[in-house]
Amino acid sequence: MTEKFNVANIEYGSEIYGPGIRTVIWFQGCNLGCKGCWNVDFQSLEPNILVNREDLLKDILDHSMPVTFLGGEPLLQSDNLSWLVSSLKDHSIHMMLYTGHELEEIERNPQWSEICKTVDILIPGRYIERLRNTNLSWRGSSNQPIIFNSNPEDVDECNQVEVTIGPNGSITCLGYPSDGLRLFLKNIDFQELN
Amino acid sequence: MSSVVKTNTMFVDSECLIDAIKSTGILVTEQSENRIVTSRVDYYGAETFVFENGRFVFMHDSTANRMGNRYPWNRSNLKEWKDVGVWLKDVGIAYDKAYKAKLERLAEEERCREEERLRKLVESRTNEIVAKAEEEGYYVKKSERDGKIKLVLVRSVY
Repeated sequence: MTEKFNVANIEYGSEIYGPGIRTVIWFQGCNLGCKGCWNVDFQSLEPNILVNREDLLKDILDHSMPVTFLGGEPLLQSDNLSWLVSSLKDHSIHMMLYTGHELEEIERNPQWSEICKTVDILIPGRYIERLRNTNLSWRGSSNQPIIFNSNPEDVDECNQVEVTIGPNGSITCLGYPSDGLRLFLKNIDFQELN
Repeated sequence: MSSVVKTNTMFVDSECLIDAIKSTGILVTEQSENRIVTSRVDYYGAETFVFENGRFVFMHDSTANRMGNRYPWNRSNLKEWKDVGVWLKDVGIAYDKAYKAKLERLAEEERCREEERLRKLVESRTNEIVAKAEEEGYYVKKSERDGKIKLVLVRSVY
């Protein structure tokens, strides 16, 4: 078993994938193939950024922020993810996990089930294009619930976008921008992640 | 007889060359784009740098060195006469120092210009995005971290 994660991207200090300011990790690889997927580039199972799981744990702890896992499909790397969430739990790091799998699928797999119970917030379910709703907090389609495993809180539904302008003028956009804003950003050449 | 001394140092920059000449205690009595006339005098008159083929070359009387202390102009215009070779070596050292300083200054100026260009680019992009986001009904929260500007855009639909 490889002890390396296949990672697509990491952002530090994001405010739109869960409560508070968080480290957000997009895993590479997904075999669910949801129609209209926002992150097609992250579907390939080919290696992208390979990171030793110990290094990823250290990186998360060094940044001292809550963490959110999404993808891709995080549960495709469940052996390493199981180890990671267990280790983070020991350090009392707040965790949020997105998975495209439905609750029934998760329950049939003991390892997935354990991971999904360990994290603090779980957002399960396929992205369904006809249920797309960009006015939901944290998720893309209205079939996806927010499940709090600890400290439930009220979530104000809203459309959230995060735009980062680097010191060289580069632009990264996270979240679900309105069509008007998306077109505008596209015209000034930006990197888009959802 | 007049001769041309070619030095190891390529004198290509007039500003640095003038600084270097002055640093040896010699005056520049006249200057134009292609000529730098010094206060050193020999049989042919003021010793002069002339710009030729992309560099300054030094025009002087080559017999001066051979005559040593008997050369009459070595006392007429300078307190401490140095023969051409020794003096040009001093000028070369001073020139190299001045040229290096000039390159560093130019690099710093270029770095500052580039920084300013990027600062204006970031500022204008930020302002454009904020204006568009507000036009689209977003509430905008702006913050700075690690040299990056972050805009969190929130829009509620009731």
